[in-house]
Amino acid sequence: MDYHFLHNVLYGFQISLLPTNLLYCFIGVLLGTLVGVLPGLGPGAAISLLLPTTFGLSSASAIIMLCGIYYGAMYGGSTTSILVNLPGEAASVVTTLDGYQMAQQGRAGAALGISAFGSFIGGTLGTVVLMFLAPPLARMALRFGPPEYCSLIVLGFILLTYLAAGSMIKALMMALFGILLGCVGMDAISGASRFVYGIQALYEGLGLIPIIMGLFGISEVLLNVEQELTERNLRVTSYRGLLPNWEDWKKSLGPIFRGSGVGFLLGTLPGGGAIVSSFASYTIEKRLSKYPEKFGTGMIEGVAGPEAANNAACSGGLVPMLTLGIPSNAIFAIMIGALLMHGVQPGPLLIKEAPDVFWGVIVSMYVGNGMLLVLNLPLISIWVKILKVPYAILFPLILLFCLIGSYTLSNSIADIVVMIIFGVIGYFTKKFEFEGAPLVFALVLGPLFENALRQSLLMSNGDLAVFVKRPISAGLLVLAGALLVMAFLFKHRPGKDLRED
Amino acid sequence: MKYGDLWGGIFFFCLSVWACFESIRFDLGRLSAPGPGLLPFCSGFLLGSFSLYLTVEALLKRSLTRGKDKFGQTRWKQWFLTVASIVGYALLLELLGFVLCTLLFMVILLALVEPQRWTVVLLVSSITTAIAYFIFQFTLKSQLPRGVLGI
Repeated sequence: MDYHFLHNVLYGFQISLLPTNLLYCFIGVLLGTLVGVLPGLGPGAAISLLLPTTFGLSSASAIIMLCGIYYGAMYGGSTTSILVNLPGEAASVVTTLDGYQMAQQGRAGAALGISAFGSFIGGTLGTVVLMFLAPPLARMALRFGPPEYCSLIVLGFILLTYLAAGSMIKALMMALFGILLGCVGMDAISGASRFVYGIQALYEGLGLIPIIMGLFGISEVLLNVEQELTERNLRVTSYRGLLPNWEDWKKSLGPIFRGSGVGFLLGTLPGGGAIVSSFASYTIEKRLSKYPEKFGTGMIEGVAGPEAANNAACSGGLVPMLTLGIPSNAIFAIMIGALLMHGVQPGPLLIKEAPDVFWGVIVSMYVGNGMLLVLNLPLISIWVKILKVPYAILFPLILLFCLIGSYTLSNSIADIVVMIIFGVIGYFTKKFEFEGAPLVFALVLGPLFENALRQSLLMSNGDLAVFVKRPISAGLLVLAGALLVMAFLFKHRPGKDLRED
Repeated sequence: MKYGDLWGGIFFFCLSVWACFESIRFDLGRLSAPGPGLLPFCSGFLLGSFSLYLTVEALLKRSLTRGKDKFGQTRWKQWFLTVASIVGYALLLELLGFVLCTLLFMVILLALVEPQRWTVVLLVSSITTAIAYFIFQFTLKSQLPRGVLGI
């Protein structure tokens, strides 16, 4: 281990242990857990809602807090999955299968305990790998020119749609819709205005945050209010003793380590993220088990693996964001938006230009995961009480936060209007099973892709072979092509299969 | 499910046709000097092709289920009230000001969408408005619209 690496890690501790950063890390993980506990409000919407509150903070503090919300939500989501059979957020859906069954058999304490320890181990292991992997990757990415970026983004789009849970064509359509939305406003190269029709608010382009708040916040509320809200009365299973016994540990260690590996790996891929990771881990554990038929009846392996996987995926997702400036899912797309708002350009130069953000954020994840472990187990009774707040009272609060949040972005009613329009679009796309994540991904990467594409064509004088003449770019395109061929040859795709399993 | 594919396909096809026509107006340029219309045109073209495929596929499936399946349980009154409330909030925020507008918004949602007891409505609305005002106006120093009340 070289001296520089140790020096950087110590620098990271220095940043993340600053009292202000400790405070924001704490606020982040606490709010994240709350968001994870509350069904109907996912980490994506929560991060968008709280983004305006980070304007006054340093960029490192802001991202430390936002990351805390994400991995905090992974912890919180499991609590409701286990106790009330209601996943607080999508990555905890799989925990309901065995977690709730364990609770029904009077073993809720062990399930909650192993899910907290599994999350802690997964999150921490993921952070260790991230710390070793990110700097060399960032150095490699420095050799990327516009053609490599272009091919990388194409691969990202294909991977995202390949791993999508529903129809690949629909995911591609949403990504293309996202690219079109990203074209609205002034063209960065020629200065021409596109799709603005004289509307002043559109000249700077459509804001990412109002769109995300609409797609993930407003649409979710609209989907909930159309149902009978009284149906959501919950029966909470009682629990006692949160420490898993030796037998539980023996059964869970393997799944936790495997889950951490799978979670981290899938977390780095576009479209991977926490949701796919948790399903992948569950499927693997089921296939490796001597008693696969018992899965779904209260097997602790079915809780330990997925919980470790979804937390490790959070660390994995930071790899492409910090080293390439490319998000692996909608949540990291929002974080890229947050970095840009704070004047920090994510990508290979981040490690040099903003080492406080790079190392501070990575190291803060150790601190945050530790806080969650200490915080979460004693606070479970409070989360359960919060869960009992009727949705009829909760939804006006969520809507109000969306409205204020989007207004305070630039004190403009136009942002609220954009948010409402995308709230309604999000409602119908969810009804018709079009996923929102590819749209957000494309909205963030569309402008980057356009610049890279046009620069590549300019530098090659219109020769499209530039994308295959350069080895890294050619390799990335071959990979993208192989995925497309696989998607057409084999009807079953991992994202779809995992969810169906 | 195919009903959604049909309407989704038609919507995106119309959108793509419009995007392609507009992109030509922006100037497509040449491969050696790509113009601002190139990417939206290509995206629009691909979107149009996929949506056409989706629409035709949905039409060819005989078991075209009715929209009732997706919207059969929808409580449209509550849905429209919610949308109208947020649209109203956007329209009236600068005129009425943050405090009055937020209070009205909360009262309408709590009293009309899923009616609560009046004590709950008034208590939750006023406490929420006060806390939101305190957080955004004083803690985060956001410039909230003052409106007719001047606060």
